[in-house]
Amino acid sequence: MITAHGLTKRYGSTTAVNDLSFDVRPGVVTGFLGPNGSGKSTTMRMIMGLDNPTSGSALVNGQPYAKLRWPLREVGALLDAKAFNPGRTAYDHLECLALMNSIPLPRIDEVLDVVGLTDVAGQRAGKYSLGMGQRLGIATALLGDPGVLLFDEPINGLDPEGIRWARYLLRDLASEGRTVLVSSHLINEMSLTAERLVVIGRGTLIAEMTVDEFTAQSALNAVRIVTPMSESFVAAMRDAGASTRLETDGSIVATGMSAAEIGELASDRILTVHELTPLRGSLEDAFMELTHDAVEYRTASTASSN
Amino acid sequence: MTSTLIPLTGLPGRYGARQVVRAEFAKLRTLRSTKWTLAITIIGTLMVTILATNSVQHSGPGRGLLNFDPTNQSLSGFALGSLAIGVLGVLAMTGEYSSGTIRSSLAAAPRRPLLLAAKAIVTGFIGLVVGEVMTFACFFIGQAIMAGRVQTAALGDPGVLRALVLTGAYLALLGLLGLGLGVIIRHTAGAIAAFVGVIFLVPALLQPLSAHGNPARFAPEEILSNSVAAVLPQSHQLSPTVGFLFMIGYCVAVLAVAVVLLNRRDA
Repeated sequence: MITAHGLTKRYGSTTAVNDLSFDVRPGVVTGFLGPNGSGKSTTMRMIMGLDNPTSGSALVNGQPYAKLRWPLREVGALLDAKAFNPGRTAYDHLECLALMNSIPLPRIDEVLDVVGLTDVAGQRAGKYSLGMGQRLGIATALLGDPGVLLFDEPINGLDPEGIRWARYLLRDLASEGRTVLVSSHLINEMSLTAERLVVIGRGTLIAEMTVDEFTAQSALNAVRIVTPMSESFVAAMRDAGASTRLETDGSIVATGMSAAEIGELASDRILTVHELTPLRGSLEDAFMELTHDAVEYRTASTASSN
Repeated sequence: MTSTLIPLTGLPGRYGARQVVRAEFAKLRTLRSTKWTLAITIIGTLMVTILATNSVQHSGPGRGLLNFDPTNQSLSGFALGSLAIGVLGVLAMTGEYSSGTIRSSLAAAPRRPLLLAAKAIVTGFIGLVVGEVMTFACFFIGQAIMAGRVQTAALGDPGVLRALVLTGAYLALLGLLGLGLGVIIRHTAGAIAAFVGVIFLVPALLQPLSAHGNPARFAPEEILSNSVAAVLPQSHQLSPTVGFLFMIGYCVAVLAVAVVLLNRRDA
């Protein structure tokens, strides 16, 4: 269980995280979603006690991180890939950390096996690829068998097979009753991995809900209608309280009514329908819609089209 | 997938100095830079000792060199040794910052003063062991080289044992000074530059003032070569005890600033 309450971080006049409050519950994967620079990493570092909040607090299992009795046995984290000395082997890196929290050394071989680094455990970690570095970071997080896990962009640098592996691993960890918080700026990836979402933009909480709610709430759920009688159709739809938009190809995109309701309306008014297609807005669209006021670094072309 | 992992059993108590000190020892043991730095310390100090004692010449039959301190002469290699041990102290901290390991370390041991204390214990211990072994080795090697050419010192001579023990311990203090600078500055190059500045530059800059109370005698390297490692009393220099206490004071001050900054700064 992770609880953030009024978490705020300012650097001079810049506010990186602003009055952020949310819960991360055990048993499900919670996606921590936001555009680049929205404060995800800063928030995670504050949860870990690495950065001091300007105000507010973050508690892990009801306690500030610094008060944990055996930190690695309660919280595991992958905050940045390559958070290890390049001159040390993967085994030695894990041994140093295991000693800090009296974790039995055979555990090192187990976690190396889980992440698939057994064969290269004796190599100096500086020679690792980004993906191998991520795997070592995940092994580090699992070392103390913790009930709370934080992963900051864990799939960065993983190959497709690795991404799928990480996805299953995160879900397995959650299904074992652990609290799992995974940050990402990719909503599609999160929709496959996470069940709940904490969405932030410019350091402010935008939404805290399930992935299903997030999709359903999206204003982009619309229905495309192809009809030879578009004028009468638009009039009928307007009478029914829906809003419509005429597309360049002559089709109508309606929002405010489901496909079933539109079908019944057409039948009542004896209107010909050639095609009736529910347009389930992509998660990406919903995410962009939700955060488009809160994007820190926007490319010029996107900015001008908004 | 995770089913291959056997759950860890709970543990009473709390992580503390015992765990963190063990881990800090492991950190040094598992890095090549430690072995290199220690090898340079040992080889460099021995080589300078051999050269310095070998260069001592007879001054004629029956006449000893005036004001010649054979103990001090055999310890001349420690200027180089102090540099290497300081680098070891610097790297104990800056190596963590440059690689990002500091975040893993603080995640495992979030009580920062405890982490710094553990690093100080490990750096101090290694500095002490290496320092004591090296001072005695250099003393005996140096006296053997000078034997028959000039008057040499024996372990039982007044002040000799004191000079050897304090010089060895002084190396530990230099390591702690490096550690403190590493915490404060966080970058390897910057911290080593600062350490070299304190050790070699400060006395050189103060040299012109030698006629005005000789302020250079308060510089760490001057304390080492003219006070701590000296058996014969030297004019215008601190006494061995006062010099050693000054160095302890420097270390306490630097480490106090270090612990405040380490606590306050984001990792």
